Amino acid sequence: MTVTREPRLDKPPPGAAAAGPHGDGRSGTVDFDQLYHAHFRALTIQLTAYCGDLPQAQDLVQEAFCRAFARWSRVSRYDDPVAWVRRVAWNLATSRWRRLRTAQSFLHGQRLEHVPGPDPDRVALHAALAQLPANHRRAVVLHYLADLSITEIAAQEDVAEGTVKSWLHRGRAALASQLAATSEVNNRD
Amino acid sequence: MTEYEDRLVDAEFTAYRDALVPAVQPAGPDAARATVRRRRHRAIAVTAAAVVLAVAVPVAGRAALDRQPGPPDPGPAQTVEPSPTGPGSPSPSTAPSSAPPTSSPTGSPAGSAGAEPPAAPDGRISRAQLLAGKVTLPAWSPDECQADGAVRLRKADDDVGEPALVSLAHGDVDADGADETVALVGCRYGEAVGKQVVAFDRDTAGRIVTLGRVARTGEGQRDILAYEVTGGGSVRVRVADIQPCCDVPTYLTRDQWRTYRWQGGRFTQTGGPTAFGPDGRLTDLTLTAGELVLGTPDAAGKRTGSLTLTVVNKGPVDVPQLGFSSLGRLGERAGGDFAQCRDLPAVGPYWADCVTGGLPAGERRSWTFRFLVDGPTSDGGATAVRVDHYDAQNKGWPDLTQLDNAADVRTTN
Repeated sequence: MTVTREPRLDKPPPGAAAAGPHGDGRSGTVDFDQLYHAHFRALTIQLTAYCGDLPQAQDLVQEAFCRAFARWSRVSRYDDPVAWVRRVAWNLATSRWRRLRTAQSFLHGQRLEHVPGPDPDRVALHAALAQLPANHRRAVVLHYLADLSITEIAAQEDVAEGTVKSWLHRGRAALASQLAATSEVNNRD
Repeated sequence: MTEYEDRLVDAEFTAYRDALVPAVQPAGPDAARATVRRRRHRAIAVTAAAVVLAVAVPVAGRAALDRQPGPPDPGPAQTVEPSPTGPGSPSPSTAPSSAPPTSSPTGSPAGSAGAEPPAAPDGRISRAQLLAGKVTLPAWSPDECQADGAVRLRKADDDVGEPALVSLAHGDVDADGADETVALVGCRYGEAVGKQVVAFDRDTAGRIVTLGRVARTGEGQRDILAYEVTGGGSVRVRVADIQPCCDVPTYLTRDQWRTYRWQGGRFTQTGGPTAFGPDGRLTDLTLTAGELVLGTPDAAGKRTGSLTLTVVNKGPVDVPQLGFSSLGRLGERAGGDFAQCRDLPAVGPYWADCVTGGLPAGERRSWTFRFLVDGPTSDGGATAVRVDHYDAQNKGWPDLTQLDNAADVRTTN
């Protein structure tokens, strides 16, 4: 298995690392529980940055892991199983067909309740990300939060590397100018 | 792009990540297991529905199930008659390449009913024999699989890049009077499987030799659903344009029966359509959006605004229902044409915010939706909304030109 450069933010809960009672999902070369615990948080944060909604991002990542588990005997043998999970989660997030109607109406207006305490930096980044076209936002998030290379982003998005470079360049410049403006305002207060 | 900007953005993301980590609440791997178990139970419960059955039955099974559809094979009679000249006549060709370019039922010298054993090598190979040693595979579509040449076939197509024997059938495809073996072989790439229908024979020494490829998957024909050897020695292959995976609905698949014959040292198509062509069920919708202009906040800080969306159906197909998605991201529903919205029954994987009446080909129509927006909005922020084609059975369909089905909506004061 390729060691992914994705930041490993998660630790399994106490006791979970020990061999559990689950016979299924443990026959592959990669342990499903380990993969889940190692990547769930990082993937959720990426998708939160993309879609601006933490509970929705959690649902998408959980769904991606469900799909991975449903075909675990195969996914576990891929070179980089987390790339599969990440791609599925992003596909779900960008799918025009996804069942979001219920989730959206429920989540609307509840967004802030899930944020633990005010954090000007995060709100500023959230607002700045929301201004970006979706393609630019995906490229920037995959670059800064998933630590993917241009080549990897191009592969995931199924576009040319030059396109990714352009998205990244424009997205980054727009973010920087927004954030610089925000920090100026904050500093004056 | 200065280095300062890069560091600024990088630092913001790091702070963002650090701040968000404690807020993430994983449901846990056990919850994922439970979900998958529940879905599997549900899948079993509804297998009675024919549609689901068609999805769940593996290709090997379908090959057996789907024999009846399709036009009858134009080939000649079903039985090979004993040669009128009887034993002692010139031996039928032993080398496939010297087989006659066309066969006729009475032209096969070797008899099945005669007392003499057929002079042609017996190409009837069992599954176990085909799996026992290496066989020579014709080239796959390069984007699907690289493992051609001498390979040992696997029993199942679970492993990416490893060719496997899916199923086999027998019949006299080269008109030498003896049966050959026609096999469906698969080679997995990701969630899909590349496939080839390959004919095998034996040489005079009894070794397994590859006669040739009948058909394979590739660009424009991504699946082989079934195949059969007719009594006339033709091979009929049921080809599909896509191999639906994951969330792609199976009803998008189109399939055709195509007929191939061994002629002049190779299999050539002699019947059925040669390509799928454009999908006549699809149409070209275009969406244009105005701005969502918000009024002054009310006492509670909420603001209302209107958004006009215009859809053109450029054809060629009438659309029974239109579905708008992502409207919910703009704000709460506050009247206007939201009154026309219907909820879509959960019949398929497709879902839209608002499903409204249809739009015949060649027509244009506008909708004005009113929204109630809570709190400050990010000025100039754009939200992509889109329109999609749904049929009368609430099934969603892709568009001939997907890109112009979406439009950015800017929220302004």
